[in-house]
Amino acid sequence: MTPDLSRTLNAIGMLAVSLVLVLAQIYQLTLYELPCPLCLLQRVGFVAVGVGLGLNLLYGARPQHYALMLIAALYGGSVSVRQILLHIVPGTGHYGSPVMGLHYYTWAAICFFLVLVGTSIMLLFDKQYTPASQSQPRFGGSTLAKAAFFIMLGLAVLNAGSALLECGPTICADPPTSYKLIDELGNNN
Amino acid sequence: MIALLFALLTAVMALNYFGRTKTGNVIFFLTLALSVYWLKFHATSQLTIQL
Repeated sequence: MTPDLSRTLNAIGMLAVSLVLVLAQIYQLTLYELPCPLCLLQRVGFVAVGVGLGLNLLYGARPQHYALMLIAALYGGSVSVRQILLHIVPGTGHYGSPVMGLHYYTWAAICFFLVLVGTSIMLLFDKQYTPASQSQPRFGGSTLAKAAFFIMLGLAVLNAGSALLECGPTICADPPTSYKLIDELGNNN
Repeated sequence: MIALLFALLTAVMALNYFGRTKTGNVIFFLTLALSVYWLKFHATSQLTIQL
């Protein structure tokens, strides 16, 4: 696998992770289903996966960058499995609407599992690693890589704003019923 | 507080962009450690495991 192909595959991976975050945001806004604290922590996991992918896009593939992705996916996967376990006992209900028969946290667990598999497969190819002595421009001159990086950066900022509106500067309500910060600001005026 | 985690990861991406990858990595792991700590406030309801 050439460094260019690796960068393109990483950019596609970054866009796929971004799509997950975009879909979650669309569901949040259109169905007015506020993400629970554990759902937000799963989104943190996806953005953390994006950090590793971003490093691959910026400076070329390195085992260290893939390691960050694996750690982030393990973290996100653990949170989503934890949430599945919260609802696995009959009669404990569920959180949010199902999407194609599965709840968000189940989809998140599947996505994190796919990240683990995909990253492990990518680690198999040695020729994608460029020597550190060979300096390259950021993103290796790839527009796709640049676009994917800034989309993820924008989504991280968007999620920071959204989480701040929902939870305020304190611990998030569990489950959340409204945008806490907007309510507090409204009550003060 | 969860907003802070997103803000920190945004900062990590920005630091990486400007070549400060070591600082970025430190903040990355700090963010993950913080988010694991905060699980304590969010992951203890409902499920009681009886051995």
